[in-house]
Amino acid sequence: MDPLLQIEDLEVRFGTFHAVRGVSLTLARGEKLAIIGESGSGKSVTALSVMRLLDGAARTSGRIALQGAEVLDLPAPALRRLRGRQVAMVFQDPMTSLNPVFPVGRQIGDVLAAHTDLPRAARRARAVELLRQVGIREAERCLTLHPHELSGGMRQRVMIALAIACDPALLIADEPTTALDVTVQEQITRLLVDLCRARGIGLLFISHNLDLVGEFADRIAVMHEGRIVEIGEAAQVMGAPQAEYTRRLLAAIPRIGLPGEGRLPDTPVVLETRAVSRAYPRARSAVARLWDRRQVQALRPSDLQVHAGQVLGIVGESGSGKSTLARLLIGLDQPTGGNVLLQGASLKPRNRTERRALSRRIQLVFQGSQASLNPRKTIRRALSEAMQALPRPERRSPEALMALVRLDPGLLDRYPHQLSGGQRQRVGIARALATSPEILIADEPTSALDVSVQKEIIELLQSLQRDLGMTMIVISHDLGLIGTICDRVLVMRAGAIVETGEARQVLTHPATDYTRALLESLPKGLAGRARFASPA
Amino acid sequence: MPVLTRLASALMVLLVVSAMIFALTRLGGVSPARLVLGADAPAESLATFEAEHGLDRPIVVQYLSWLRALPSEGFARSYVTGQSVNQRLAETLPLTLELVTLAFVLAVIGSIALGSASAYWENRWPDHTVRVLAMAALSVPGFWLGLLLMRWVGVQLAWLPPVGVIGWERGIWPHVSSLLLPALAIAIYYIGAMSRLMRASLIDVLGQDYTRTGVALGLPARTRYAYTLRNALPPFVSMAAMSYGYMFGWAVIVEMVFNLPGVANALLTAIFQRDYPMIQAIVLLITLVFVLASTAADLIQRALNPRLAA
Repeated sequence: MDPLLQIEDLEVRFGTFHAVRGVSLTLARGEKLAIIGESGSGKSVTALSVMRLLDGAARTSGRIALQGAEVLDLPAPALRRLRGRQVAMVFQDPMTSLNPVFPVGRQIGDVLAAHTDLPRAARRARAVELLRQVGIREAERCLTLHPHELSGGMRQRVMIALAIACDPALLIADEPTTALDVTVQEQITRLLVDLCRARGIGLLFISHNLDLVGEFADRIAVMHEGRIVEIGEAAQVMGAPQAEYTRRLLAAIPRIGLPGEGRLPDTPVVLETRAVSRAYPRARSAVARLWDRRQVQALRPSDLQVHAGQVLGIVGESGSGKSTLARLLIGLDQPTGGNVLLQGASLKPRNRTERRALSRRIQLVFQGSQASLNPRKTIRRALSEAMQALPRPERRSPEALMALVRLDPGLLDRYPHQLSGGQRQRVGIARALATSPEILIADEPTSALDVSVQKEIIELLQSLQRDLGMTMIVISHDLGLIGTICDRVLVMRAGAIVETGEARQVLTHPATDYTRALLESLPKGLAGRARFASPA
Repeated sequence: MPVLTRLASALMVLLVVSAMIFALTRLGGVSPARLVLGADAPAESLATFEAEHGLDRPIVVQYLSWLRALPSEGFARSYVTGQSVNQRLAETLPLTLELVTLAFVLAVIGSIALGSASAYWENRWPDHTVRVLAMAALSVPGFWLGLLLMRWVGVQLAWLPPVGVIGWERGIWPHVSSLLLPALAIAIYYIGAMSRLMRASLIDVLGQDYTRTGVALGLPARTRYAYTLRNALPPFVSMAAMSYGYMFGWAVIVEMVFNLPGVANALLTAIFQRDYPMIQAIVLLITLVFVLASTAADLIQRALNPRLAA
């Protein structure tokens, strides 16, 4: 029997950039094939070219056959009928991939109207049925809701409902869970796998996460610089990788590796909070606030201690209050209740001088150094400006800072966009270290980076912390990262601390159901295959 | 609730503006009595005139009594002509409203069509053509364009009446066609400006992830256009609403050029004659149009964008 999808010698160029270089693969009916790669590997471009969704600048050659149709040669009307009916796609970010101004029911109805001749009432009934199939309980109510009224997980379920509305033979999922929390990631992956299995849909799953696809994919293709470097059965690719690159990728995955031996030393507390809380007014405008005095509690009264020379990890899903807490700890925001104490003294800068003094002692490494470095200033200027808080004799040379984060000083006169993501994050760390702070707070320091680069940044942070004896707070949703570098862990959920303790204790013997659920939902690679062996 | 808040604030704006207009027209320094009765009029006849028209009272009292009379009696009589302002407005306002509304409809339809063509064929020849036309429309003065249109379409081709207005009693088409040229003279500037905004807004929406989702789901072109347009409209609606108000300013020139007996023409006459009750009435009406248009724009925005309604 012919394969469902056959790609032969696919080449895609954008101007002089050669994005895909001779990719060939086949996907059988009902098969689950995963394409793995880092950013720029060509995995998404390959997926998008199957639906001919690349923009006009792309030059494509080769052959893509889908159920006998030559996709690259199809005229526009036939291509439109193919999209959505024979092949459909689920995108990465459910926040932006649904039309914000139409209710869910209308969006599903329009897809059905585009490909079937069902009358209006039948389309509505089918939409309700579809929403139930993707696990939305109040399907009738959901029809009238707009995307912004749904959570991220719900939106991705709606996106899946749209994709399977016309029973496609092939479903392409491009990083469908990357923008979601880890517990939601598990549910969505499970939903996709179960749906495809029940309906015999072929699944092309694009991801950067080997541990995630290792749990369910039949076969895995590993892409690097536009080529497939390895393709084979999941067990073989993950268990006995042939290509050097695959081995590197597998080794770089941050997995919970428990640091340290024995008891943590009892060092003094440098930073602590006493019943600190933060509430925001619900009403947006000042006028509406006159009669609407309701508040949103972003952080419930919380106590925490940060010990000198240790690494505290704050872990939580979106909306857990971890970033709010971080802003309070660094003095960027003021609590509405309670206190933050830095070495016993209340942390509340009263004027510019105090604010400067404070910023010398606590520094922050941001999530995306792309956005936090001024694009119009050279690295040298960015680092020099960061040292202005110091008296002149204490300032170090930018070269010395670059050496600290193991960057070539030759990069000093470049602009941020001329650096790679990893290099930029190193500059972000160098800038934070410019004032030799006592405490370094890193907010999702690796989440914008590729797996192999993540590993380098984690190692850098670890060695810096060891060598400089710095106190560090790492905020992340990634238990792998937290479990690799933290001495103590604090688990947050819905604006409250649910569990706190030594990392080893919390991650091996969690005391609360929530921490346990977080740990269980972590993708486990081949070890997690049992979970997907049968439908839930 | 948000709708009520919005209407209440619109009413506040109207009150504040009416007070300002009232104050401004009274602070001119020269008594209307002097203007009406002439430079040689004796002091006692001036005083009699002022007492008759209540001009001797404090300005706050004058304002409040003017405001109180507004709902029941409408505007007062003109000092200059003795004619009822209400009646004068009833004669002139409908024509201007028709003219401006027609211009507005032309501007909206024209700019959505041209802006969409520009955005869908971004940086190809339709886009370049529209860009050049828009630049021309923005830089040519409206009255000059009006004269050109009058000469070319009205006189040489004789497709449309060149000047004046034909009454409703001669039929709908003759009436509308007689307003078409002046309306076009007003609309062209706004077609230029608003089509650029429409283009920018649509290009932004076309680059969004949800537009790609629509393509990936195989939605037909018409549905996709409806999806993108609805998302691109909000900034356009704000600008269109403001433009509706500005068009009354343009109407002053265009009514003169095309010799139309509209309210803008009446306003000019009133200003020359220092006919305060008339100026007040017309300026207040134009303010009302502005406030109504921006309120309507806000309500339309809410309907278009469910995230604002929350």
